Amino acid sequence: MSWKLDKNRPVCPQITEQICVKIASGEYGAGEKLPSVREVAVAAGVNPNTVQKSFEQLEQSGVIYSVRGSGNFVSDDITIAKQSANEIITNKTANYIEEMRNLGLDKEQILKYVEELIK
Amino acid sequence: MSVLLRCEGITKRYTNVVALDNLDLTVESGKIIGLLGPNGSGKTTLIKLINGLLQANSGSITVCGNKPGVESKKVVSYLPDNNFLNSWMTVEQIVNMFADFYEDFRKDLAYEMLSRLAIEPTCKLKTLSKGNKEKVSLILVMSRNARLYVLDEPIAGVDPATRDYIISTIINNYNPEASVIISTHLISDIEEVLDEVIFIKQGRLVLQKSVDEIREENGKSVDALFREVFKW
Amino acid sequence: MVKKLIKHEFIAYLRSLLPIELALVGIATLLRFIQIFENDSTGYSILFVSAVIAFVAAIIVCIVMTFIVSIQRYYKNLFKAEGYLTFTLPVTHSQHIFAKLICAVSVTVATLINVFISVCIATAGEFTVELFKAAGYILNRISENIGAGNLTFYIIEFVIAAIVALFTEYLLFYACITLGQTAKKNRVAAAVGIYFAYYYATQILATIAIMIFSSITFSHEFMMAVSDFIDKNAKQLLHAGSWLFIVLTAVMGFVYYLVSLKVMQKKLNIE
Repeated sequence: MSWKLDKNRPVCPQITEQICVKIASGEYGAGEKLPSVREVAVAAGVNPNTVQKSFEQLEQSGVIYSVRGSGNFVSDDITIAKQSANEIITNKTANYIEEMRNLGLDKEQILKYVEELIK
Repeated sequence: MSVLLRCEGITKRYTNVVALDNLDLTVESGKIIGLLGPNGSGKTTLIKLINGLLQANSGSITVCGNKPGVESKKVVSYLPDNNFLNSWMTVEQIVNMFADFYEDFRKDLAYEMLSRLAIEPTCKLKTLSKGNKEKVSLILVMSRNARLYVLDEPIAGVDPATRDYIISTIINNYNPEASVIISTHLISDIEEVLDEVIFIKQGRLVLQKSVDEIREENGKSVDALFREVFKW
Repeated sequence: MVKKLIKHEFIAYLRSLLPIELALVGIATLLRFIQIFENDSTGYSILFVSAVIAFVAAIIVCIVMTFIVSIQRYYKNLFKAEGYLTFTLPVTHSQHIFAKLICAVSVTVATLINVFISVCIATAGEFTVELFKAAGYILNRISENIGAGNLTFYIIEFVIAAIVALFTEYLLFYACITLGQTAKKNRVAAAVGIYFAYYYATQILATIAIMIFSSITFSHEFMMAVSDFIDKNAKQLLHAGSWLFIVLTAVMGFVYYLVSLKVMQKKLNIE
């Protein structure tokens, strides 16, 4: 469980996104219990209230559900998580491609750089 | 959420400097707050006023409705920015002293945290390394079940491992009934831990806002904004 | 809370004073032990004289250290780095002063008692017995003259006066230190300066008062009446004088206490 945060963006959406991606990638399986707010806060080095807010947002969008007194669980149906993760990743990749295109690179050049650096 | 700390029109003058200039400030419960400002901006003066170690020239301070005094001291847990512990005492003696005076001190929690660091209760404080001394001080302060924790420069001059320890101890002891005020000039190390930041400059409140709001509105970290606000 | 303060205060005192207090008793015992082998040899005289010197030195060290530690406990524990903790304990300023004062006075009295006991140990034997007998004889003669009740009262008055004076003296030191800590730097020097300035000021005032008083010429009849009154009521006047001294000293102590308290409340300036 590792958390890398961008210092120039708000923390809350970053935590929300990363949990979605972790669910989509199978790090947290469907129906599995998530670490507590405090555990995530300590591990990520962020404010517990922020993590709490992320969990609430995830619950509202149906990615997770909470059980009073026993914590937060990944929903049995993880399509929403997958969708969100897909959206996040697509957006980020699209942003990158656009930046590269703005620099005047074509498809081959972009792929070449990605190939070279991805190791 | 209730108001824990209220400062109204605080002015504190030293012989020929104004350390705090008509400062208004409110701190609610359930928050971890960064008190940020360059050296000499009045951070420590404000903290000393909250703890009753100084008296303001005008204005009023209340902690949970009480002016600084016995009642406020019962609910404020304060970590000064110097070696405030008696160095000839053993860890155990200091723990007993805290337990004696503070009704909200949780001895078991203190010993649990100490044992996780493998610090022997029979050790004299002066035999501990600087990092361990800082940790012991923090453990004592965080082992209280206080309403307001006031930590003056807890991460200045410590190694990264100690800094991480301090940060995780603060998060671990988070309690929605209480708030933590952390004064520092090393913002980038802790900004993600904070709910809210308070910028003070030359004794005046410049800004009080949540970290995410700042990042949202400015598209940059609190640290970057701080450098901008306090650029000479 | 005062009880807890006193407890922690005593722990601190014990740590710094207990070793030298025990050393004093040890040296006293040693000095007495040496005397068993009393003879005319040079070796014995050297040994005896050096033991006596060590004993006297130990007494001086004990008394001086008690005084230094008492002052230090007040200054360091309140106005140096430790003060950050001391003044954030949920305790009032007056409780702090009170706890410090009680401990300083008790420790001083304890040291004096320990010195007395040590002297008794060092001189234990016929000489000490004679000394006590002599003291008893003198006390008996006095009580025959002035009445046992009166003597007891004088002794009680003397003890009370001594203790009240000790309290007041510490409170004066406290007031000077508390005033001294308001200085930006050289806080100890400031405290010492205030003490001597105050001392000389009171001396000068007293001298002026005496000069004014002695410059007044009373009539012969008045002076005779006064001396007659003194002759007739000597005992009562002595008691009244003692109590006047006690009350005045206590009032001065209270004033010094108020100075410390007010300065702490308004002008606390921890280093």
